[in-house]
Amino acid sequence: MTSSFVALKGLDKRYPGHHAVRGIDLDIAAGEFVAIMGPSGCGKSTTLRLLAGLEEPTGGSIAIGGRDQAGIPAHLRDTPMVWQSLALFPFLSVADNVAFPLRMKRLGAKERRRRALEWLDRLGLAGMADRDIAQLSGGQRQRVALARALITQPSILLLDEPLSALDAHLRVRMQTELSRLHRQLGITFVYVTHAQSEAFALADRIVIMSEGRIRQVGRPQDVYRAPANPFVAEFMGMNNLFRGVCRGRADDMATIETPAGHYAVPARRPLAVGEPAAFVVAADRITLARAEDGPPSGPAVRGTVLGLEFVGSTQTIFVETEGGQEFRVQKQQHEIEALDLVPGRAVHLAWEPRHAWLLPETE
Amino acid sequence: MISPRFVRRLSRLLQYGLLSLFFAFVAMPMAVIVVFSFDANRFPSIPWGGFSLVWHEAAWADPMIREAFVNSIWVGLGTAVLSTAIGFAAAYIDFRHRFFGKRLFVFAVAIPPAVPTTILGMAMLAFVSRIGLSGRLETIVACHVAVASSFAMALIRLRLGEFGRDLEPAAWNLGASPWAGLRFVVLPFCRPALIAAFFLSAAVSFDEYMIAWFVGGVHETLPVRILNQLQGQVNPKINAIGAGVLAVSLVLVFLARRFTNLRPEPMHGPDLRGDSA
Amino acid sequence: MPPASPKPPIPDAFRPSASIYSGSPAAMPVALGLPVLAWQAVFFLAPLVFLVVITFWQVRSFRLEPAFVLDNWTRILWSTPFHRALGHTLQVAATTTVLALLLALPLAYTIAFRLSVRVRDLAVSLLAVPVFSSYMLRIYAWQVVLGADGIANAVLGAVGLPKLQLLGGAFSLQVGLLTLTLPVAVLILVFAMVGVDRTLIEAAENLGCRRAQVITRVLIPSIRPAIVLAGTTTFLLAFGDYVGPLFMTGSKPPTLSILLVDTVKSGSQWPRASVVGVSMLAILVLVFALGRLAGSVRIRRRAS
Repeated sequence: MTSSFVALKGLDKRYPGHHAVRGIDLDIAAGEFVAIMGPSGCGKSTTLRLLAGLEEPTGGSIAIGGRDQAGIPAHLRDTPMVWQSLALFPFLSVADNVAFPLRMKRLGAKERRRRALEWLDRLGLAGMADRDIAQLSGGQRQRVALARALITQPSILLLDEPLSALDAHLRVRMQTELSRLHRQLGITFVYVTHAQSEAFALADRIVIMSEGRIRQVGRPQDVYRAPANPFVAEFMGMNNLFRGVCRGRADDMATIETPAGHYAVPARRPLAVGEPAAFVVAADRITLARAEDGPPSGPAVRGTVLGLEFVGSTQTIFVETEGGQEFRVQKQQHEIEALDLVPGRAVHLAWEPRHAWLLPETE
Repeated sequence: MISPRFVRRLSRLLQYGLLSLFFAFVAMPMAVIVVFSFDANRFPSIPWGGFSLVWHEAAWADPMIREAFVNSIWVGLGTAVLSTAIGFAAAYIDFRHRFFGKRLFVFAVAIPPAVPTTILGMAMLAFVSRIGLSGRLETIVACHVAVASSFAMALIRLRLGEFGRDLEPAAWNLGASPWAGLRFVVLPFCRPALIAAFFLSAAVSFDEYMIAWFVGGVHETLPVRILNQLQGQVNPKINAIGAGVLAVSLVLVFLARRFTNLRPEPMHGPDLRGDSA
Repeated sequence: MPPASPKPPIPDAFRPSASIYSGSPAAMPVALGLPVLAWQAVFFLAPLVFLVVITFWQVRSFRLEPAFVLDNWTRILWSTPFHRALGHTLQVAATTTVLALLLALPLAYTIAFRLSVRVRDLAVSLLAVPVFSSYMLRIYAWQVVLGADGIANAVLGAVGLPKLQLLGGAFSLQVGLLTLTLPVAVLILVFAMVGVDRTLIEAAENLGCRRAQVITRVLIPSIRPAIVLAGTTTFLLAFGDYVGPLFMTGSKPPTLSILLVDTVKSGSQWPRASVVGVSMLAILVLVFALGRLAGSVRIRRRAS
């Protein structure tokens, strides 16, 4: 696992009037499941297409399995991809779709058919071989696309938002399926998505991109609990960001002055007095108290409840602070029942100092 | 006082009446030819002289007509094959590539039908006789292709408009070289349009008389034969030849139509039909 | 009614660059495009260019010889037969255009809005047939119908009416030219009318517009480009037609097409025939340019 299977070095892609990928470096180990995330236009799909050879880089290099991919056209690379649109061939039967890569390798019709049936069987599509693509459900088409990409037994599989066309229920089932396939095949999966839930459920490591650059690479829990910069913190969604300036240091704590007040934050990196600093407090690490019960001990901000959102048994409470910032607090239903939270109610948001995460990068 | 309901009814009546007249106007010439081709009379006139196949037989027995028919078949087939190929290449390039001067490229394929065939025929004859190609059946094919490719390109380009942008890259990604992608993905997808383009190009060629007349020299296609016969003495075989030509044309156009799903479609919203006149 | 959602444009990132092709990056477009270009260059563009070139050539003892003389141009452009033919052809083509549009608009309206979708599709299919099948034969059939002893006069005679001189005049010529142009004009307008955003029409009706107002204020303006297209196409077909005038009026008076063919036939006067042809093309280009202008001026006014 130490040597990298996929190595991107200074990978760059410029279009006229658009710099899609700005010199990124990334190493992916053999058998790893990596998810690339980011808002649309961040360069994640372009990166995938560069890997597949569907685009030519304008700088840097790509090596797969130790082999430099420069100059290798798409059809000679072994980098099958599952497309967001699935890109199934509508004029071919299910089996012929799956066998297409074998046909391109000039395998005999019998052998193609045998192996296509094998893969259809493996993905739970036994008996569907001679159907038209149009006769399949969304989930079945997804499996056909997977079978077609995997039939040549590649050592890497590229997936470009493969589940975005499915409904929520199917998406979860396909996630399980993908997880199982990844375990069984032991090959490298590079998975581009904008859905956090998919990335967190599936990936060993997450790559977060923005404006053509990689902003953070790490395990899902690291990216979530220890975002590297304000962009990642906000992209992950459930973080409350404070920006300010370091005003003092004592032991392992730094005091940071923000528009909302002064806060003590564990200083996990060198931080000089006067230096700009930013920290986050995760939404599920904040405690709520009614304003009339008095200010809590420890760090806190005062604010007004804007509204509530239910997701299952969890509630997200949106609070506007006195500084005009919008904060989120995530609580279990039963934890906050007593608080009688209605829009307009004044509240205190408090947290333990150790739960404040000083961002390694301020921008 | 005229009631609005009466006005509406009258308007409807006029609309349907006009439409019926229009279709009668369109169908009448064709019907006349077919009906009188089976007329025993020497000259097409009323009353009908009784059913007879004599003119069909006479037409078929005429060696010049037979030769012209065979010529037309060859020219039509050649034009159909080449126009479909050229139309496909042009449509695919228009679909897939962007380059300087593409509009001009597409224009050069699209515009020939807009030039009156009288002028085109004369210009083509002047030029091909200069390069020593006049008076050959192959030259008729070559010149017909220059015109018919426009229709072939239009039909195939329309089909390519429905082609998923990802399908071809997906084929490359799965091991198809660009040429294999064209062969195994783009061509199969365009199949109905290719068939339609084939039949429509054949119909265009089978029908064309000016260019064929100019560049064909002694080689007559069927429409040229008819044109020459029409300019001579009244010939009762004309109706019989005409009926045959019409039958072939109709079959070709219907076949072409069968493989296109070109139909008027509303852009947005449900297709509500007005209910007041 | 949800707002019309146009398909998102394909971002550049999703267009494969030319370099994915192995070997020479431009191999495929060149291999596909060159034959197309070569064919159209040799059998379409070159003949037209050559047509312009030979207008300056000379005929000496029945042979065409390269030269640079303006004699052909001056002889044709200042000749009375050319002026007559030009005037006649313009007038005939303009008449056909007006007639075709006047007839095609209500016809297309009926097909687009009064017929069920299935019947409408059938009507469109049936109209495609005459567009691509033997115009010359249909002209000949009109000769049979309209001739002095033709079907029309036989029918008139049977009901005790006097015979009419139907063939050989403006009437029969227009019948012939409408046979050629009317199906095309109707098809163009049907496609345009069916394509009109129905919400526009509904909105106008909801605002209290009467049917006639909906047609003149909403329908007609929104299909203006199609009307221009139908008009220019009709003009082009009628202007360049040879068979119609030949058989419907016996070439009297001659149109430009007939003048052109006669000039070629009599004495191999290719250069002069070419002058006629090039003049015709120039007029058609002018008409199309005017048509485009007419379309775009409207659009600009509506956009402001």
